[in-house]
Amino acid sequence: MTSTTKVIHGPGVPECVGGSISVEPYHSEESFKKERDHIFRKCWLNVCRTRDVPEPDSYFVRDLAMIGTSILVMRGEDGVIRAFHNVCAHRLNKVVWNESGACPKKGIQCTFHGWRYKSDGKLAGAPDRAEFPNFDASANGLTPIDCETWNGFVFINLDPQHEVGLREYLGEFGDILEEYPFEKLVPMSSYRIEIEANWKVVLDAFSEGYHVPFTHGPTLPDFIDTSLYHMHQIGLFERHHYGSTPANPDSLYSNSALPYLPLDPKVEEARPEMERIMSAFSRSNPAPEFHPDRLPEGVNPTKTKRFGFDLWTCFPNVVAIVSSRLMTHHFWPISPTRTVLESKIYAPDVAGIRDYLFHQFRNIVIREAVREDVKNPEETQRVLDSGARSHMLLSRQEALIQHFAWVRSKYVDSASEGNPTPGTDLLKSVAA
Amino acid sequence: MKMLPDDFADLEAFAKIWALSTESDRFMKVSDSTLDEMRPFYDTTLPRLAEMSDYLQGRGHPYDWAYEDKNLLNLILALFEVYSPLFIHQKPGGSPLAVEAERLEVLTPCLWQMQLPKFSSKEGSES
Repeated sequence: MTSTTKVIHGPGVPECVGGSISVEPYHSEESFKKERDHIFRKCWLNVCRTRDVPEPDSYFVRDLAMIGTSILVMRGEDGVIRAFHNVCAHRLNKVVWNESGACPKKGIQCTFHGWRYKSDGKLAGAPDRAEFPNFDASANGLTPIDCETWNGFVFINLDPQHEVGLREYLGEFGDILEEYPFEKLVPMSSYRIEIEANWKVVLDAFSEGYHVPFTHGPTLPDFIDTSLYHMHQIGLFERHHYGSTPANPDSLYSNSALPYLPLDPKVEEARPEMERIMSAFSRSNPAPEFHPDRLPEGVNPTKTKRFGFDLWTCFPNVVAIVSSRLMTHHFWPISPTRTVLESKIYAPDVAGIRDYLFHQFRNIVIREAVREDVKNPEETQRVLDSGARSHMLLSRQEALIQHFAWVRSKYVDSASEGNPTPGTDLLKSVAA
Repeated sequence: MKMLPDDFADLEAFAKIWALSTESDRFMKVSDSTLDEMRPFYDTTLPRLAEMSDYLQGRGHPYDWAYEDKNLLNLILALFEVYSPLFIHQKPGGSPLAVEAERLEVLTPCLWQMQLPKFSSKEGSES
């Protein structure tokens, strides 16, 4: 089968037409520390959505175990969303312990000695302050972190000297998806799992369609097959990338939101019970702005009828599966061999009970596919230390993995002169 | 205590077992059940699915639903849970290629906890 996948490269981006990459970054403590210091402490990170802090004084907490800190995102009384280290200025206790809530008018209070902070981070009160010599309240608010929003997503940057603002950092990801109606999507299903594998082993498993017929064959019977998984188009940019991924447009699990059509008789045979269930509630029409023909120009770039979704990676740790619906995966590193995956499925405004039931039937099966997606990475991690292979082999259809390794090495190796990650020399052929 | 609307009184026995209030609880229940336990529930409830869906459609916004209405929806969602183990993988716990069910934290909100500005009980006009 000859690949018809079209590949678009940003300036200076290597071809990524297949090859091999080193397994060293997938399990070494040294690589993990470099990623912590040169990627997660330097890049813009999406920590929540604006709807997680919907009103003045609401807050959301994101713990970053890899960094050893906790981020407190708060919407001030002025409506501005700000981020802070969730660390008391007094004895450095964690101030807010729960995941979300509302800042009281008197301020959120540290459990240790009762210091209080307003939702703009300013110190609201410190008991017995006269006992502190030369006490300066203005210097003892919460420690701010740079925070910007894009399309309903809240990003932070832990590097006070970061080189570029959020919009520039997002580059083509921001350009192409600028008009996508993210804010009109309702979060429907939400899952979290801790995985015994390096964060990149897990992320890579969500970065190609090659595995789908094999890992998910029985679970998603009509979604994709071995003749269908080649990506229509791949876009590789300075930091981020996408792969426009095919699917059987008639599939229940396709993200195309095309009207439910009669299926191929062969497929019908494979899922008579699904048909029996589906017959009870017809797929309702998607909200107009999510109709496949009205999605922004850059979504489904080849305008194929066999559109499944565009699989975007927003470097370093977000995969967004974009179509007439949205699924996001966030990969949060814990240690060189432990990762937390957070997966959320969004739908255009739920219009009624039939619409809700359609989505939930589908989401429950997709949940099972996610459970399958994280099994292979754990088994991979168990044997990475074996030394059986120093490199892993990638096909053209795994270009996103190869590109990710290149972006990663730019951040990690440019900061560690003379000590490049082994194997990255294989990535140095730059596209003409 | 009655769990379901009167129209579905014949499904009360199943509701007591399966109409659990969160996706997490339903998923765990199905993962811990045998195919023989799931089968009668599926076979009896599936033929009533359209009727159940139509009933709920006439009950207005989920924020205002009665206890019995919520249980009816939970019964439908439990029916969706048994589909995969019964017909796709033919084993409890679903796919043999997946991590164990109990390791997954299911944080999905209930329908009546979601923000649903466009929800309408008049939905259903297909074109």
